[in-house]
Amino acid sequence: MSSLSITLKDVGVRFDIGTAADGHTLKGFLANLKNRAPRQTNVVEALRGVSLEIRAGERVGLIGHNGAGKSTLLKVMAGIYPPTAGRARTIGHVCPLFEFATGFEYNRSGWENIRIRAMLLGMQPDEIEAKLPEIADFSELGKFLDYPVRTYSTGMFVRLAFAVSTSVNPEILLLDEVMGAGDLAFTEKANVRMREFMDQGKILVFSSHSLNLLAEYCNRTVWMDHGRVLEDGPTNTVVNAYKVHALGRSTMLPSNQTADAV
Amino acid sequence: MTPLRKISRDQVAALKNWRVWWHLGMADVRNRFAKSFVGPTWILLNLALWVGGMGIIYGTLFQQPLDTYLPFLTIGFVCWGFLSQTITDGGNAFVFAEGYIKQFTYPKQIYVLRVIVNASVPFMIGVLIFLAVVLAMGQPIGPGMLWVLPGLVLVLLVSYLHALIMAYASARFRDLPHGMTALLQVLMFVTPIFFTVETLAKRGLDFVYKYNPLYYLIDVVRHPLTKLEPAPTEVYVVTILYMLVAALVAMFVAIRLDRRIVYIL
Repeated sequence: MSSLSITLKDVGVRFDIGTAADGHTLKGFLANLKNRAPRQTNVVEALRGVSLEIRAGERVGLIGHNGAGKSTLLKVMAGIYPPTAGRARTIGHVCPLFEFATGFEYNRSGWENIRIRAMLLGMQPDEIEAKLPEIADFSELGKFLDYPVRTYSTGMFVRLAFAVSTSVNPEILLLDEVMGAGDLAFTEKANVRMREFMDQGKILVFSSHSLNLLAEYCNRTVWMDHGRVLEDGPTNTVVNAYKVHALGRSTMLPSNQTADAV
Repeated sequence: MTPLRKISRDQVAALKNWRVWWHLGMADVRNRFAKSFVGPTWILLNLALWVGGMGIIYGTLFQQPLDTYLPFLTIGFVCWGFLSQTITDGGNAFVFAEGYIKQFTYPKQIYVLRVIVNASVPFMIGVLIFLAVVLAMGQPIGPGMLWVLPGLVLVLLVSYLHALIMAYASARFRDLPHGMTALLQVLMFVTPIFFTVETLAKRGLDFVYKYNPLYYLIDVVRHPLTKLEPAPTEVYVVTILYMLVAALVAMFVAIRLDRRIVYIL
């Protein structure tokens, strides 16, 4: 399949969080019997009626407030969240960069975790062995790579995961708030590598609060609000509309707080 | 895409990426013995201790000649270990892989295959130990033992289905692994591992094994290895029928839950 694309038609995602947190234990069940309280189900609609078509060569930015559905949307595109309504279809090899804090084997060495992570990102074993020195070097973890990762600090987890993830050859690159997240101790170096990495992706979708980054990278931007697409168009137009909206909201705030500082 | 097509496609993709689950499973084995002085030799020690202790006590209790009873007990226990480990570990396959499932796009089945690899290592070591016990007890060894190969394939397939069912169902019903652990403890003593089928039949207790699928799954491996001949036809028939039922259940569970797993983890 040569033509890479992401197609979403009327996609909705509902999380049923009612059963997870409350009452679904023997203790809760007995308590409910006594109170005769009907069990409430909490449903969160993370996405509603989202339709998008992204073709090869496009660089799409996602903006919106926290909880607007940006991360969920990226996970739908990656095929991790099957939509609970509508249809989603992604053609091409997806390289997701979502979080750097989970998905480790805590009792195994840094080397071992590099191998596992690289495999899960779709790299072949010989390719991994070839890239191992370079990944290790970039992570700057040195002798810590011989230690089990449970001894690592948060920053070290991020370095390891970042070094591995950015060493794959991406077709479709999906990034969630990875830059400007502030938890990268080696920010400058990471930024350079990130830019190179993003240039390789044939389709790029990334969410960010940094409007400068969006303007730099994306020819198209999608503004998400409460799980819906509020605007979808050229980055300039959408970012300006977003700025007006955000500035309008921030009139109550001290005047030096602009959208760019968010 | 229909759920069934998606699941079949994922299954094929998972098998194709055998390196990933092979690596994960083998790493699990090594990790289990990390920092242990004796290392994987514990598999051998554990089994030797168990067979030695139980063999002498139960052999005397059931008035069995030790030279045939010890090999019988060894292979029965080894098979049991594999069957029960794949069921209990299968229940945790998706739950423990939550960090991966929510972050990477690999088909979920690799986390179940990983469980099978992890359990296969002690299983295979156990079969070798069984051969050592056979030699030590001066029992015959011969080409008839090769009838074990179709048996091993069947047991491997059934265990994969068991683990698959447990992985899906346990993600939804978190009580299931606990329930199965409790149930397996009881089943271990009502499945002919300690006592031979003849002992049971003599006392009119033959229903204990006749309606117990685990007995057939054990005997399909144990019979060729201890009697140097194919297992009775009924053993193969029941095993294959059971496998088909397990495949249907696995398919049903997967179709119902596959799309929901990431949301309920």
